[in-house]
Amino acid sequence: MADLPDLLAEYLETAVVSTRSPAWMHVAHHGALVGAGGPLGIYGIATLAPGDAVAPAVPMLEGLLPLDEPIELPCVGIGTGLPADIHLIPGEDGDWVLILDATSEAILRGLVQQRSNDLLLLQARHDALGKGPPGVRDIPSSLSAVLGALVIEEEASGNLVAIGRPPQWLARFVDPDAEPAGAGIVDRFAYLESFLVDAREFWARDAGAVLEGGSWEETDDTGTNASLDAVAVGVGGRRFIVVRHVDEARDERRRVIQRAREVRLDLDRLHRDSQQREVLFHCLVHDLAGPLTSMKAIFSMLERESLPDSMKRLVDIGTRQTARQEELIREMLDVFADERRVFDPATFDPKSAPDVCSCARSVVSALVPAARAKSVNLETEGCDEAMRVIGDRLVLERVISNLVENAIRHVPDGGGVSVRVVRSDETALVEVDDNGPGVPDSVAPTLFRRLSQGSGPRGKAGLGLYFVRMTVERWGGVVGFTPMPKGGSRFWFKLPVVESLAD
Amino acid sequence: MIQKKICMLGSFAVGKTSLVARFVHSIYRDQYLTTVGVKIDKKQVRVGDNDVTLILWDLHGEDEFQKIRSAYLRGSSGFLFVADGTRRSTFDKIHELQENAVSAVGDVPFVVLVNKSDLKPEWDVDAEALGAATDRGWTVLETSARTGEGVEDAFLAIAESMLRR
Ligand SMILES: Nc1nc2c(ncn2[C@@H]2O[C@H](COP(=O)(O)OP(=O)(O)OP(=O)(O)O)[C@@H](O)[C@H]2O)c(=O)[nH]1
Ligand SMILES: [Mg+2]
Repeated sequence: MADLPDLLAEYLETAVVSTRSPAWMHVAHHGALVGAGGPLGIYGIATLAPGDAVAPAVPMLEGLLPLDEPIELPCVGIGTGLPADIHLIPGEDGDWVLILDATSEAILRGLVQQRSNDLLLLQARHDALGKGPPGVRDIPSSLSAVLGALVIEEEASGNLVAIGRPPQWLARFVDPDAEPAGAGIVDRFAYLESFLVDAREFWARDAGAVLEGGSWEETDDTGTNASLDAVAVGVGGRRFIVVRHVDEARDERRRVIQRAREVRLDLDRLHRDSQQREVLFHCLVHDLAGPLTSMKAIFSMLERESLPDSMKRLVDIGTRQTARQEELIREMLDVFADERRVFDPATFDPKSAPDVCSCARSVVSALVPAARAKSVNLETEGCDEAMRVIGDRLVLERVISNLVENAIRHVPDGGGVSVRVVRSDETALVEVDDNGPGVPDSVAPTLFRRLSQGSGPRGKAGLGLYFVRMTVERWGGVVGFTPMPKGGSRFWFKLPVVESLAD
Repeated sequence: MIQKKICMLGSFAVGKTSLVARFVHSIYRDQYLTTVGVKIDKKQVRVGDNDVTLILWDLHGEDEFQKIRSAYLRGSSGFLFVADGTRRSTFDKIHELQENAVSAVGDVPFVVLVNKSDLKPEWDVDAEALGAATDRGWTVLETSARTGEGVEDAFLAIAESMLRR
C-alpha cells in the first residue's frame, strides 16, 4: 500500500467511499463507544452516542470484542439492513468496526448459489424417489422457467441436450419454432463454445460442483445487447451448463435496493416536514379563526342598527358567510383532532413506547457539533436508566431537540446547556437548563403560546415551543419554564411513564 | 442483560432460515431463497429467572464449493446443527460440521435439529441413525419450521444448555 502512487490511492479512496457507503464505529476496550460515523442505519445498526455500551445495542458484536486479531465477515445482513462486509480491526485505543456495502456482491453470489442449490435439490429429490438414474428430461419444465435459465446437459455420449422449457429470452437469439437442440444453441453463442472447453476440463478433473463462466454481452437478432452469464455444474457425475439472462434480474434488484435506500433517507425528512406542516396548519387555522370572532361581533352590531334594506341584505350575506367560514374552520380543526387521537393514551401501544433517556442521548449527540461551533458545553445528566414513556420516538426526539436547540441559541458563546432526565413518581421529567440571560418576565407567561416570539435577534422560538407544548400535552404530559436562581433558564416537560400505566 | 450468540449450521436448504423466521417472526414460506453470507436476528427468551437475548447467526449452507468461514463462528456460545430429515446426507454431514465448530470455538453446547418433521413419511433419517446420535450424547430434536412443531422448544433447549455452562 505504501508504494501506491498518491493519485491512485486517492482514486481508490474515492471509489470505495462512493460505491460502498462506509460506516464505522470505534469501541473502547471496556466496550463503550468512542465514536461512530457513516450511514450505520442502512445496515440495521442503531445510532449510539459516545460513551454508550455497544454490546446491547449492536448484538452482531456479541462475543467478538475486544479483538486480538483482525476479523473479516463478508455479506452480513443485520435485521432488515443492507448486506455488508464487516471488518473488525484491533487498535491500541480500542477496536475499529468498518462496514462496507456488499449489496452487489450479495446479489451476484445469490444468483449462482441459488441456481446451483436448486439443481442439487432437484437431483436429491430424484434420487430419493428411487427412480434410478433420473431421466433428465423429467426435470419439470417449470424449473428452468422459474429460474429463467437455459439448462443444457452434456450426455455421456457427448451429445448436448436442452432441458425443460426454454426460457423466453432465448427466442431473441434462436428461432423458437425450431426444436432447440443443445448443440444448435451452443453454436449460436461463440462464448459458450469456448466456455464448454473449460467446462469439459473442469468436469474431467472433477474439481468441484460449480465452475463460473462469468458474464458476457451478446447481440440479439434485433441488434439489442443483452448480458448473459454461464456456469458449469457437475452433479452426481452429470454435467450441466446453465445460462442466464442477467440484466433483468440484476437491474430489477438494483432498482429495488436503490429505491429502498432513498425511501429510508426520505422517511426522516418526511417526518420532520409533516410535523412542521402540522404545526403550521394549526397555527394557520387559528389565525384564520381569530379575525372571524371580531367580524362576527361587527356584523351582529350592524344587525341591530336600523339600516336601509339594501344594507341589511348585505349584512345578512356577511353574517351567513362568516358562519360558513366558521363551520369550515371547525371542520379543519376536527381533522386535526383526528390526528391527535392517534396518540390517545387509550389506543397507544405500550410496546412501541420510546425510551426518553435514549432519545435525550441521541438528540444531544446529534447537537454536539452545533454546540461546539458556539463553544457551548452540551451534556446529559442521569440519562442512563431506560424510561419508557407515552409518545412516538421520532416526535419525542423533535421535542427534546427543540428545547436543546433553543437553549443553545440563547446562551452566549462559551456557555453551558445540560439535559437531565429524572423519574418523579409516575412520570419522567426532562429538564433542559442553560446559563444564558434568562427570559424577560414580560415574555415568560406567553412562552408556550402559538407564535409567541422571544425578543431580540434570536427570537425564533415561538413555533418550536408551541410545538413542544402541543405534543407533550397531547401525550398527557405538561410543559413548563422555571427561571434559575443564578440566572439562566430551565425548560422542562413531564410525560407519563409506561410501566405505571400498565397497572 | 444476558446476550448469547448462536450459529445455525447445516447443509443448504435444510431450513435454517425458515426455523429462524418461524421462531423470531412467526412466519413461514414455502419458497426457497438461499442465504448469502449470514443474516443476523435476535430474540429474547426467558430461561428460569433470566431474560436472555439470543443473537441468531443464520449462515449460508455449507457444501462442497462453499465452506463456512471460521470467522463467522467466533464468539458463539452455542450451535444449532440443522439437518433435513428427507435428505440423509445432511444428517451425516453434521459430524463434520460439529468437528469444525469445535476447532473454531472450542467445546460449546449444541443441539441437533432434524427439520421437516411434517414430511415424516418421506424421511430417510431412520430411528437407527437418530439412536446412534443420541448414544453419542447428542441432544437430537425433531422440528418443523412449516408447522412450528418443536421450534420454540429447540431454541429454548439450546438457551438452557448455554446458561447451564
Ligand atoms: N416441508 C417443510 N419444508 C421446509 C421446512 N423448513 C424449511 N422448509 C423448506 O425448505 C426450503 C429451504 O429452507 P431454508 O430455510 O431457506 O433453508 P436454509 O437452510 O436456510 O438454506 P440455505 O440458506 O441455502 O443454506 C424452503 O423451500 C423451505 O420452505 C419444514 O419444516 N417443512
Ligand atoms: Mg438460509
